Amino acid sequence: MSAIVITEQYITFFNNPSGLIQGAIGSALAAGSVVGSAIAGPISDKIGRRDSIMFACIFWLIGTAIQVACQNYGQLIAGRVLNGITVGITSSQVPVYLAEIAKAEKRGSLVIIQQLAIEFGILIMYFIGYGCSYIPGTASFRTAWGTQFVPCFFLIIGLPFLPRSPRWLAKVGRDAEAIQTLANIQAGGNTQDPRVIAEWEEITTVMRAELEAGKGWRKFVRNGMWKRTMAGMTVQAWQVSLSRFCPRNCASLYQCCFEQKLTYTPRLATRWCQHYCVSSFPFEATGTVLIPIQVLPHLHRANGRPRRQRRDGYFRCPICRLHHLHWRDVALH
Amino acid sequence: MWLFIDKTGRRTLLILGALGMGVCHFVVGGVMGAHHVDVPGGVGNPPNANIVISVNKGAPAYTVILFSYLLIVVYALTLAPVCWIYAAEVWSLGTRATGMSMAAMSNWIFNFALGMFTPPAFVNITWKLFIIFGVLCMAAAAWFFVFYPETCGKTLEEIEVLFGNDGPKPWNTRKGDSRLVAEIEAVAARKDGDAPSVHETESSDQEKVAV
Repeated sequence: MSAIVITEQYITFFNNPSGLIQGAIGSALAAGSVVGSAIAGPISDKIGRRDSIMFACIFWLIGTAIQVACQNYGQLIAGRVLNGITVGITSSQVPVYLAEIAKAEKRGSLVIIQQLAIEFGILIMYFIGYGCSYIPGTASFRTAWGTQFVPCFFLIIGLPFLPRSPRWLAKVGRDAEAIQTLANIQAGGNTQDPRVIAEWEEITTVMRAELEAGKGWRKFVRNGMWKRTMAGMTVQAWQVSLSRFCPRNCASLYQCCFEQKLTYTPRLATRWCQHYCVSSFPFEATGTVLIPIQVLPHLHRANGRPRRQRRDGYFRCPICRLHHLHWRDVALH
Repeated sequence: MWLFIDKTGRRTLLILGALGMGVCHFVVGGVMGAHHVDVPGGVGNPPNANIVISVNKGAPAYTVILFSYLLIVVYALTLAPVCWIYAAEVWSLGTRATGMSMAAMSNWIFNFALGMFTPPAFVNITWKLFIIFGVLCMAAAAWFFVFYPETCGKTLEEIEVLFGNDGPKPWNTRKGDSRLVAEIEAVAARKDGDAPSVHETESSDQEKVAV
């Protein structure tokens, strides 16, 4: 999205949205993800982890179709809310699914793959946005948004081939399937492997104990479980609290350090930095290395074919706020 | 990252990460406090009213940049991934889906709150904001130490026990030590001695489902 809102085609078609309207377009996705993550829990318990991801894909298909066909910003906002629901469901249930199918000793690295995939998705989307900015007319952003179908398509095709979470299968009483899945994961399909039997006993024992512990919200507080509820929620709160300032402080600092003017405005590069740094995800370190590679094509374009300049005429990258972006400064980036 | 995430414990990464980030915040805040120049109208031309102090040049400026980068590197290697893993694995089977939803909501709410208060805070108290975040990091490290048991290398079922009333104190927990290892051996031993009975349990389970 951030690679698209700066194209002339988008600005012209949507009559240069700014302020409240652009804010609404931008935050529509977040609004949708709140709804999505709120409904994700019950859905995932009801139809299963894997299938809840499949269910989320439906919203994505509809939302993307609405965006591709959009005639005004209202329609765009509606499409993004629907896509946001998908984001809300998948972002909370994919870690659940991954944690439940993983072997205990490999769980961390499996859950991390999701973050890695998000990172690469953003990277790919920027290149798509950049390429599509050369297409004249509304086909420019329609094509870019249309490519959102592609990963969803592969997900829908691929999901049925993935195993259901053995722990969810146990929870709903489909024991045979659960044991078979465990065996496939742990022991190449051998249900008699000691590891499979031991883990299965472990799962069922704890599950029975939990059933006795009570129903509904009591599960979250009884028998010391309030500590767990607190740990799970605060770990996310801390992550956000401690990290939110890092991109912002870099933002302010560079501006404090370099005071230079910029003649041209590689806005795409600016937006890219903004997006990259403002979203919090684990591979910012990698990102620091990747930024030069990504910024170069935009620079080339900005120099070869001057495009819309920002109204204030300045390049204000939120990480570095370098005012004059040079090759060597890009490397510094 | 995923090369060592399962080798170094979650607690270790969380606590060291928070401490490291705290140190970076203190250095940045301290250097800015000592060397800043006030720019009342905002830095830049046209002025950016969100930033009203500036560290102009030389060693202090480079120190500030270096530690800001270090901060991001430390964060990316520790808190960023571990917090997602931890939030997904602490829940029990019955609470995991809803629990993870709650965790994601808490993430979003704090995101929103911080987005609201950070810009005005930086305008009003400038470099002191870094000290506040530094203190928050230290508090987080203490919080992790006191409340978060080690979950690395354990099955999801064992993690449940760690939080129970009879569970060990979080600071006494170690990575690995999976109860499962002993149970696997027990099952293997039982299997050698009395293989048919294990098989029977297995098949009766399957029949139950078939019916």
